[in-house]
Amino acid sequence: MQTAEAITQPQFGGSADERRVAEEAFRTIAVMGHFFPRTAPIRVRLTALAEFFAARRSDRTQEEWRSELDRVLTNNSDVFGREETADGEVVFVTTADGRSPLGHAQTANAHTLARRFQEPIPVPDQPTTTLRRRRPSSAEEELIAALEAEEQAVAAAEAIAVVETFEPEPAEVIELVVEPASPAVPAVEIGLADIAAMDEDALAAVITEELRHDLSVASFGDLWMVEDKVPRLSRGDLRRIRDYLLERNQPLNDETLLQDVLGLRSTAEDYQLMRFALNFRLSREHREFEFVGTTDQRLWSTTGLPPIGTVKRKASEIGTDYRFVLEHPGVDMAAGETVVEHVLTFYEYQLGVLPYDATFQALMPAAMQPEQRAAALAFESPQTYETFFVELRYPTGNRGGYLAGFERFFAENLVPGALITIERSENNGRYLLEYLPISGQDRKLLHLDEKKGRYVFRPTTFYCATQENMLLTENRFPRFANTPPLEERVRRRPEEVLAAVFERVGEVEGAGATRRYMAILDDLLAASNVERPVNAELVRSVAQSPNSPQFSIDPDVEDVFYYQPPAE
Amino acid sequence: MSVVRLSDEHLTYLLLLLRNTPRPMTTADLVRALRERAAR
Repeated sequence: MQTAEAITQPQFGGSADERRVAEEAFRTIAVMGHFFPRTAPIRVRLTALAEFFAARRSDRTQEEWRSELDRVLTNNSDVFGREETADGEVVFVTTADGRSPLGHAQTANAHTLARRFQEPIPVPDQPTTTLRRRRPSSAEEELIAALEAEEQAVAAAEAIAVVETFEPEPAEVIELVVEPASPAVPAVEIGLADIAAMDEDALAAVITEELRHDLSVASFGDLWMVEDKVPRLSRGDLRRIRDYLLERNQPLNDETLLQDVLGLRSTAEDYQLMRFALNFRLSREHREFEFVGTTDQRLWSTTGLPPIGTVKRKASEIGTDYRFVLEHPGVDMAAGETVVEHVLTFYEYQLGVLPYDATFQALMPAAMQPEQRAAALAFESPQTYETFFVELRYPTGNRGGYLAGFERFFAENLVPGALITIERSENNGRYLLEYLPISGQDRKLLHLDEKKGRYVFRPTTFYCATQENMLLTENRFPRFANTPPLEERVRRRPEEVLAAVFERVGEVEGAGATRRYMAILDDLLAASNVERPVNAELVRSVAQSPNSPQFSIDPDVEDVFYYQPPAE
Repeated sequence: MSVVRLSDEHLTYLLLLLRNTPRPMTTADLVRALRERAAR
């Protein structure tokens, strides 16, 4: 451990008297710079030093001391550095170590605290890329890409030019062809006159498009607010919401969560703000929460809730079965209509599903959020006094939309071919499901014997009105008995299903090479829908398609189709 | 074919409205506010 600091005294030159003067001058200067670092330069004006010496020693005048000190200190240049200021004043400089800092002062002085305070870190240049409030439109992106390409081409050309100047002989000349920018879609800013002239929906669309891409704006459905003004939910709030959803075991709407979990009263001043905050913040928690609501009924679900729908077939497979609805959506219902009549098919009855075709699309809401996968709709049955959730699966790129969750209701109350009505209520998340009750009827209807894997006809008593053309009775389709369901790869292809159905339900005409099956549309629809969902548009499309010449349409009689099996 | 968009002035005005509103605004509110400003 070091207990004593070694101090080296500077050595002075000259006569004894001169050495004393120099030593005293050094001590004086060292006292002045008592708190300086050892290597920091201590500067003293010669005038001030001469005045000090003249005051302490009366043997010389101040002017004499000035010339004497200048001479003595200059002779000890190892210890004292001599500087002259711009106005001719002489300044001597030394350090507490007793070394003239001149010559190596710059390095010693480069990093002092005082200097660091005096010279703050320079402000960095403005970044070349700035945060854009607006997402560049595709037109702007194309323009930027074209400009960048042009800049790169110019830079490359310059580089080549530089290389060329150093080359004694010009090498191969490279021609740079800058592709002209494709005609970009111009962005037109709407002015005051345009705002007055535009209709409400168009202006709303422009505003929505502008704000949707602004990161500082929070939106949920049709509502907007600045993101940092939206109250946040704590991790504890989110956990309690999730626990409550799991406890109730069903999707719950935002108001229930707000009142039951967050304890907010509907009369609270900030109720609407908190409702928006809840919806917006939950919509950001993709991992745990999923929005399954509509504009009138904002339902939230969480991971771990029991799925709505059948377990007999995967949701993705049902979606694939309904892919044809994307191309053949069926008939749209009349505007303003609030009731849909539908005849249940065998496929729908078995899986408890309904198609999200043009008719149902007109009755039910579209997805409220851009990435919404499904909506949970409440269906009330006034005849059975029950309410249950049905999942509306929205169509995706290659899967059709459908409604699932009717399996138990259909099995308990209806048969394939039953006529049902679905009525929209004032809330677009709630619907009435009804059928026409009748006195009991006994018929032998088609069933799938899942143990044997065969279709069978069983005596069935039912109490609902049916549509005869969709009722699968033994009298109508006797050849269906004991046939197995079609294989999955056959079911995927409508034309193969149709061919199999012709063989099951069609009437045979001719013989040998001219042997063909004849069937009417109603029979084809009822029987095809045993295997997979099919609508009249799809049957007609397959029959008319040049890719399936085995099918044909009767030119004289409406909705009569023929199938000629390929030669063996 | 062109992309229609709001001017920066209008967009800034909408953001100002959204910043100062005590509760979320609907798109219809924003349309109305923009029309009123244009009428002034």
